[in-house]
Amino acid sequence: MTDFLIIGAGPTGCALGAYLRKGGARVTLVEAVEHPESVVGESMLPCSRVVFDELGLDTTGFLKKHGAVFCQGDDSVRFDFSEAEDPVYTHAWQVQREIFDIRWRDVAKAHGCEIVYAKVTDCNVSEGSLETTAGTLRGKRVIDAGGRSMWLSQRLGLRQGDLRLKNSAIGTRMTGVRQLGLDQPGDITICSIPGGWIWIIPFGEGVASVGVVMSPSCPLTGSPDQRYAGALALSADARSRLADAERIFPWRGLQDFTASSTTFHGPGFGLCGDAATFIDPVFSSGVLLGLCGARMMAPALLDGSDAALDAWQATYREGGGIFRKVIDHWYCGDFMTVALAPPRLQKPYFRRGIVSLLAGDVYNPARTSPRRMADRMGELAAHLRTMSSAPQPTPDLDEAK
Amino acid sequence: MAEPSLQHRLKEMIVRVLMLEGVTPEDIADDSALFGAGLGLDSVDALELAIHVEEEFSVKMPDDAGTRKAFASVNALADFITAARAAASPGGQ
Repeated sequence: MTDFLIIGAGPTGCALGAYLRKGGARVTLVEAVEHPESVVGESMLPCSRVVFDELGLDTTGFLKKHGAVFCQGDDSVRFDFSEAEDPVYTHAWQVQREIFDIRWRDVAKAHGCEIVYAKVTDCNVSEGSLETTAGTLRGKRVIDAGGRSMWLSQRLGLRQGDLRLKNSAIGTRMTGVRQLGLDQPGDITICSIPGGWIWIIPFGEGVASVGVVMSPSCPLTGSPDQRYAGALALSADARSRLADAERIFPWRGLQDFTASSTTFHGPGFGLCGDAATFIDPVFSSGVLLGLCGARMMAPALLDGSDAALDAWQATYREGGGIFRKVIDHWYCGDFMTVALAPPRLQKPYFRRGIVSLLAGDVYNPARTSPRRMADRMGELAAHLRTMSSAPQPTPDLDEAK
Repeated sequence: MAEPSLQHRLKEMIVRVLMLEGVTPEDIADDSALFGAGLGLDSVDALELAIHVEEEFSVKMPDDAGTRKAFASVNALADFITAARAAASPGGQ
């Protein structure tokens, strides 16, 4: 008998377990995969570091990430995390998940969590029991932190797909990946193509995670190699970076269907991370949301009241909601319109808002710029389009100083 | 010390919100033009400034032409805010 049974020993489950242990609870993590594999979600955001620091995650050997480069057509722009609104952390890391996930398990174990390697086959939340291949496990509450399959959410009929975002993706690792002019070592590169985007996440020495995300409107078809070649044909920037790149892993196919759960908690259960709500990965927000969600959820779980869990859920949803809005701005083109505004219209306050978002600063109520940017990006993009398409700048507004 | 004037608060807000480099509130004259030849602001700045004026002074900015008039100078903006607040307050006209 334990207090909390957590499904999934990924970063979210392990962080949640560690925080619950700090609060004095007994925690058992149930994990199906003993040897973690490389999975997507390799690019960390600076604001995740508060959780790394509080729980003592070992980041030795990971490549530091100081910023992000976005490309579209012939244009590209780099954002540095130091440009954020009052940044606490100005870098994150690119992480190979098979290593990163093991280190999270070490954190969970160091805090005294028990990890049971078994596959969950059935669940009775009202009794706090899980049926697993290692037998029946009992606790006071079952938490699903098992990732985007949203197993418990599906089972309880809580999962709701987001019909506007039903994307698919292919990903692999490559060697011989080049950096271009703007790039600083460790930057993530995102190249926008019609109906999708390409990611390049460097791990150092030319090795990188490379993949393509395609919306239903994306014209690419065929085998992964054909779709990859088609994507490169649409992006000069990606082509230059990947000209000599060679694949060193098989292609993996993924469904990036954005989905959420109608509630994140109820009698005998809770949901955290991608298992509660999965949003499109274009801003690498998944691990950040899972870790911050776990950090805020632990006190609510220890309190145990519906009021505490409701308050947690509202706050947790709000931060994810900020990313969700910006993701809509991404897919309609507004994000890139603002990000790639011509120099005379590149305002430092846009950049600050964008960088604060890219850094994942969505749970600090004192930061107004990420929220403001998420709310106003559409209006701003429309205005910028009018201004840049005007044949001559209107003299009363753009007269030379 | 007396409370800073509305004009001074507006100048401080303009410098802070628009992250103007090398410009201090004291550099902005009460009646000099904010846009074009004056401080060199453009309509994107106006959009940003309007949001902050609305939030910080609890007034509603008018559309386009009205906004441009209100943003003509610090004095014009102060007059606009004073008038808008008077109209909105129960003791006003």
